[in-house]
Amino acid sequence: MAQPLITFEDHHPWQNYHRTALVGGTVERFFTPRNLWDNGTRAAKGFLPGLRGLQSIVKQAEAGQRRVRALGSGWSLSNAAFTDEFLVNTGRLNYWRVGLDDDLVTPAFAAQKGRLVFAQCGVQIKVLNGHLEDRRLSLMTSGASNGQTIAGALSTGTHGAALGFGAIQDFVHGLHIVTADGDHHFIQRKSRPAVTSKFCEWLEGAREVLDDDLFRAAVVSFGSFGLIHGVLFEVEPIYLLERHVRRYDYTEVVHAAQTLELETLGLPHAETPFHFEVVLNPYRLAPGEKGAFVRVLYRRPAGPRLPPPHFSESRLQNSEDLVSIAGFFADVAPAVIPEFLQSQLDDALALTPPGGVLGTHGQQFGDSNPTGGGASTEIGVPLKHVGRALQVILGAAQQAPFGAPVALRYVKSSDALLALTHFEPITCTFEVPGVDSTRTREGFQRIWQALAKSDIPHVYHWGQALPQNADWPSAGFGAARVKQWRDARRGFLGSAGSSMFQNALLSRCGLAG
Amino acid sequence: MLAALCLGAASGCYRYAYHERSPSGSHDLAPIDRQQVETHSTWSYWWGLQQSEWMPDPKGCDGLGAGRVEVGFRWFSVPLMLITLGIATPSEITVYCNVDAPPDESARVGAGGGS
Repeated sequence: MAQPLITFEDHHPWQNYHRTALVGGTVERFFTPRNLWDNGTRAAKGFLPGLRGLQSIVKQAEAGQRRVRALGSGWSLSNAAFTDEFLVNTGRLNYWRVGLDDDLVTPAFAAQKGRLVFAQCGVQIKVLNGHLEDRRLSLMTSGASNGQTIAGALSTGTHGAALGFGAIQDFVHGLHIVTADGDHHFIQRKSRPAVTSKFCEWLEGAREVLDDDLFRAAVVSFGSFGLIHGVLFEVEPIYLLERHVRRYDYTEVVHAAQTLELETLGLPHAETPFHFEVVLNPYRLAPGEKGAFVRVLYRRPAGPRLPPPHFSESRLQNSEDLVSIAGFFADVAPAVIPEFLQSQLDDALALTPPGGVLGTHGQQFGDSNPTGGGASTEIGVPLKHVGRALQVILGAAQQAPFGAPVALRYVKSSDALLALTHFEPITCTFEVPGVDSTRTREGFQRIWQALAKSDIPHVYHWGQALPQNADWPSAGFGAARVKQWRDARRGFLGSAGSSMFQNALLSRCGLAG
Repeated sequence: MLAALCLGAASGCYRYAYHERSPSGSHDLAPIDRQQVETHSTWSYWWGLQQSEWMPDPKGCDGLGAGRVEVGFRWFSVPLMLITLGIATPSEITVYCNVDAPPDESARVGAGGGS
């Protein structure tokens, strides 16, 4: 009988996509399972060898008493996914399908059956964007780029700035997860199940779990609930987005940034935008310095012909060494930072023509390159506290300049227990993405300390640099919510499973056990 | 002398890349697996009059082919080129597998369907 094809490498040096210092390390065994049997053939159900491969890896971990975690595209700027024991590269698990048959969906989802997608964990957002677009369908939201895998993106709570919708986990209806003993489960909400038990039969007999609390805990769990094999989610008919980028003085945008009262910005349309984002150069806040950028996207219907894609041209790409060198110069010559940052923002946020730029979701949130030495931290804050959080973050940045802008995005709240965007009704996320350097890391520490001393409710993005302590999850999510998450995890995995899918970040943040 | 050696070795960082585009949608750069790559050393001899040709294993990328290929010097390429007066020059090919798979559109997904 054919076995699943799994290649592995011992003592594998692993780095994340952005090659961030202090992320990754040497892995005892690095597995790459495939959707192939070991004799090179495929299965009638395309996902089956990959599923069997994940089950086999979990059994090997259990037998060897090793911790095991799965990686997506490695886009996280934290060690959320990382363990130095058994690490699984899910990049080759790329089976997916669009649309389910009548007998697989519940009556409540019958109308959407053609828009339900089951994707294996390793399917990248750009794959979904491209092929869905060809079928005149679209993701409901995504992050700002497209290289994450669907399981990786949802596990860390990746978001855009979808004011009226939410983050990636908010369009997900089910999770197919492999746990101890190689058991596999399909978790969906009891209050709103999307698929029937026949879907679980199709998934090679996955145990059906209908549980709202468990679903809300597992959907943003950064790999700690087992190895996610597949994700069931909903997409929608294709739409277009009209993008406008405008430049302002800080004083002109600060009211809108705190309140979402956008009238004072003189935007091209009065309607509520699909996406609203403010990017600030913390060292160009004086009148006349034009250190604030607003990127806004409005939703538009798609006609029979879609806008032609804009091709990026062949170009020089910065190596990780260049970024490291830039980080070094930022450390030794901080006086250059404000102007350097402004030129970077002018380049990255090019002003749009008066009519804006129309494109599909995939075109607007398209390709990006690895930074080759990037670092970032991101903080979620309730909308009503944005003004004070802005003061704290800008104050910490101005104490000793470091090469990072501050980007504010606004996202409808998520009911996932540990979502960055859990604050109701709107969470504002402050992202501080920069060159990985000593100065930047010190800047992050200052921001974290200043926020910890304040009484501003806040939490951190699991996929970015974050404080390694148990204080902030308890304060930011609430002790009861954290306990609910831990209880759900322990109840689902049991004692052995809890330990097997644990990692250092989980322990330090008080979420293990 | 030491500086010249360091600069010569630093030329090992020179890289050139080809990245496939996806045939679907907006033709984004092809999705690739950056975690599991294949690297091969190749050689050019006799001032370019002869070179090794490397051909990938057709099953190497699970049948989906390469999505990105980088070609670069090794750290010892330029020093060796100087020592051998250009007779032997090594380089390195790195292949990132394409992982762009269209959705399964076989007819039946329901129970008992083997799609």
